Amino acid sequence: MKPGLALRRIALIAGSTFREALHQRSFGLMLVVALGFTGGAWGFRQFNFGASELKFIADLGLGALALFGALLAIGATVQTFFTELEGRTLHLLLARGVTRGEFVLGKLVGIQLLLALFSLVLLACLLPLLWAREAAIMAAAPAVLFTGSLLSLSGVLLAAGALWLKCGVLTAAVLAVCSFAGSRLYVLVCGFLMLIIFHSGAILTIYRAQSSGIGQWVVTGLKTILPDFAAFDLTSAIFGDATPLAVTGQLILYAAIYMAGFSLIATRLLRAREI
Amino acid sequence: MPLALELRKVTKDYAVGLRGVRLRALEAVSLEVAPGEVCGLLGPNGSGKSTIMKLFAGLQAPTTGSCWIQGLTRGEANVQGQIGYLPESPAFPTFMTAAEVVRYHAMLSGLDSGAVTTRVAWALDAAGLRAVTGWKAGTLSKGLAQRLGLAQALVHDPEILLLDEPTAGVDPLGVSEMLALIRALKKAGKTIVLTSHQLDQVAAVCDRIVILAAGRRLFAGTLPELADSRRLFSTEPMEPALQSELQAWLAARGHTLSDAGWARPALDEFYLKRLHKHEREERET
Repeated sequence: MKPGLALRRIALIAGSTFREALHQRSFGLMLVVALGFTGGAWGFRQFNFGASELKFIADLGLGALALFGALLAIGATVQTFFTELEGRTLHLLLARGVTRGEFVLGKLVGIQLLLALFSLVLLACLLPLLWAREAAIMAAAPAVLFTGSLLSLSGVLLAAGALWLKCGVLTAAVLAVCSFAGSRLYVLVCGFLMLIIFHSGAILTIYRAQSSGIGQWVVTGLKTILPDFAAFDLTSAIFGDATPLAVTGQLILYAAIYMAGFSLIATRLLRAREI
Repeated sequence: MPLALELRKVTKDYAVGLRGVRLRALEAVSLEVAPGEVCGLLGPNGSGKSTIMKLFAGLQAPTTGSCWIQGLTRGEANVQGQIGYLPESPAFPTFMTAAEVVRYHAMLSGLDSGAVTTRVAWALDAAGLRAVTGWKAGTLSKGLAQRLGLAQALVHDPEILLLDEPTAGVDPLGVSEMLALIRALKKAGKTIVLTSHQLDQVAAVCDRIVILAAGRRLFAGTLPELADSRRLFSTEPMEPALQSELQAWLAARGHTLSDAGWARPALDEFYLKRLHKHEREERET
């Protein structure tokens, strides 16, 4: 095989996946609703004052990114995967020598590109809102109370980046289920269950403390194997709490390990599947 | 020189349902296709034709037995790159134009950027799609989608072509063009395996016929072999001009011509007889 052909194939499949997902109505719908949530924060701002108001707007905006980003990750992955499978375009790719691994990675990268676009559009709406309110608050308050900036641009980007990585892990997990599942509905249900389970790290910690014997071993095993989505919550960085570079690096590594693991499982299962 | 394609006693089982009940699609099927040969797979629905195509295309693995492509197993070298595959009822990304679809597949095959444009134009032209290159794949009729499938199969200039019902849904003019293209590809030395339910089309372009039923091979051989062994011929009328010429030639030698016609192997008759015999045998057992 020519050097670089695998990367070219992954890029081509990613590009095709991205374009297909972009043409889906669900993408436009999610984007409009998420933008509505983010913009709606402006209307509800009178319920909070000062820094709390900014936090409220940021929480609502990033919350929309987390929720609708996850829904998009599940929906777009299921849609694009099953379209290839049921439409037999996957047959054409595999007969051409594309490996199952290249296909899975292409899908993952394509959906991540879509989620990156989704995140950027939401940030383009959220950031002006935050900065406008910050400027208004700082102008109204005595100068002695605030110096510099209330918000950290890098913090907002970091928090959004962490959510994007979280969606990437979810996409990879959904791909793993797609690779053996027989129907879209099954994968959608599994996707939502995984979203809930991966957010249950704190509950598992409490349960582990309360249980003993085999139960404790099982919970410890689950907590070790399953990704903990709470690790991707970096909203505290928005207000200037500096996130050490090492923590950022660890988070990227953490997400990369899970994405690689789930992609590997997806590839193995797809290889065993009768096409 | 190794065979272009070969199956050695291949059995293929599918697991069906939650209990994984085994459904046998092929049973100990052996098949040999020489380089440059056009081989037609015939058989009723569910006889295993598409399964054979999928085995050769590398989409599935045999349960037992082995599958060889140009003397190599599927895992060896880049044998998949030597194959162009047109599946039954192909579908394409609906948002891409016909030209984009073929370009996408050309690039996936690893063609150099410089060669891609030339090959894409050639493949679209060869498949008769020059007029619709800018049309979205989602708007193409079944026949045009079939032609697009053929274009993507040809674009990387493969040595072997696997065409699963290539003329399904294609209009008569398109069928005629596709058969002419298959003949041209054969002339260029390509090995072609095709499946079809249209026996006249198979007889028109194939060197070798394989008849399958219920996953078993009932017959494999060339058309003349089939005709000679079974003495099955159909007679087609000879063109009047040729008939007059023949009559004159015989008259010059003191003979008379009472009737003249072309004797062709009667594939349809042989095919139906063979299938009915198989059904009887199945019922008896």
